[in-house]
Amino acid sequence: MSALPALIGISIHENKYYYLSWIPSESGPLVIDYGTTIIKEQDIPFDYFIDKIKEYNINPRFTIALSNQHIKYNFLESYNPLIDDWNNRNNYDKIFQSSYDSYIYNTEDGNFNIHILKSIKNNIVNQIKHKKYPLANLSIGIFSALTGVKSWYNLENFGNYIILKLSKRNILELLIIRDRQFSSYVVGQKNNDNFNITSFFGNKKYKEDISETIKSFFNNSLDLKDYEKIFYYSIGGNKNDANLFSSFNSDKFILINPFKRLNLDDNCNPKLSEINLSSYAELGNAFGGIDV
Amino acid sequence: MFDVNLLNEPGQQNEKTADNSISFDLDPIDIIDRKINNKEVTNNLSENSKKKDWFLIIIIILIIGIIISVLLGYYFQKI
Repeated sequence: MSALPALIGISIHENKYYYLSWIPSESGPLVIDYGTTIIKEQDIPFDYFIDKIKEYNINPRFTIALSNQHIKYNFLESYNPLIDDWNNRNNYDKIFQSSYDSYIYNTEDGNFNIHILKSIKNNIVNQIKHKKYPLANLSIGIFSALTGVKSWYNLENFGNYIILKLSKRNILELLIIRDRQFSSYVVGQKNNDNFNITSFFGNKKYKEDISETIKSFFNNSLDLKDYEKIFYYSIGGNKNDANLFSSFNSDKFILINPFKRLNLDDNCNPKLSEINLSSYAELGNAFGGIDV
Repeated sequence: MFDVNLLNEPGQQNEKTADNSISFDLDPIDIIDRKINNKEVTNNLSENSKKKDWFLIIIIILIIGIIISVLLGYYFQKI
């Protein structure tokens, strides 16, 4: 019997790998393994994830979602090609350009830029090349969760929505989608009933609105403005905040639970709470373009 | 549609995001016929369920046969 093609998704968050392996089946992706393991060394233990499912005789392919540790972001408003070019030359010197790979996403109001340290990216690519395993996708935390949400939920009728990540130390990350397009990426910290934006990359005209919307979650004045859905997940975030969102009893708040949408093999039933299962949301790039 | 894949060539991304979908070069029949550890990978697969159906039919025929034999035996004993 020939080996089964399998997709092994790995997401890196602080000192942990979250992983999930699936194989194609008649009824869609079938999860055959998932879990977490502590990061012990610099190299990603690809063989460990394969060994866990070796009885399936698989032909593995990987996707990886990185944490923000080696990533930089910026947003440059767009005026005209001449000024944009001048801006780019002023923003990025030769040392920066030789150290980072830059990915530019055009938006209505400017360019959202993601920069990854070349040494980190090359290290991952070389590790996996050395093992002769294919790497299908390399994404980053919340951006991978967005890919997952697009695969796991039917977004046909929703143009404006937010992906919200609850992390340790009351840090919130938000990915704002407007008219089905990237609008802004926001990082902030919750302080009692308040929310302070620490980094904002996107169209500034929405900054105040977003801040007010997030504050309204915590001070009992729920005001979603024109956002139709809030998809939220938690990786080590404050449990009270996650409970608060579910207590709204609003169908606009959706806790991302990838397992709800997937078929699981018999030996692979999730025993975690819904909020802990949402920690696997950043494995979304393992389902890129697949309708579940 | 906005989709991040840092394996793409750096630079402008908007036209490259369409290539980020995961796909397997598989014949659907290939998926259906696969078995893992003698257990079907897929739900509702025809082969296994057909075997179960035949097994059930044979059992039912056997049970009916036994009942008829017992009844006939009882009838002829009485005669």
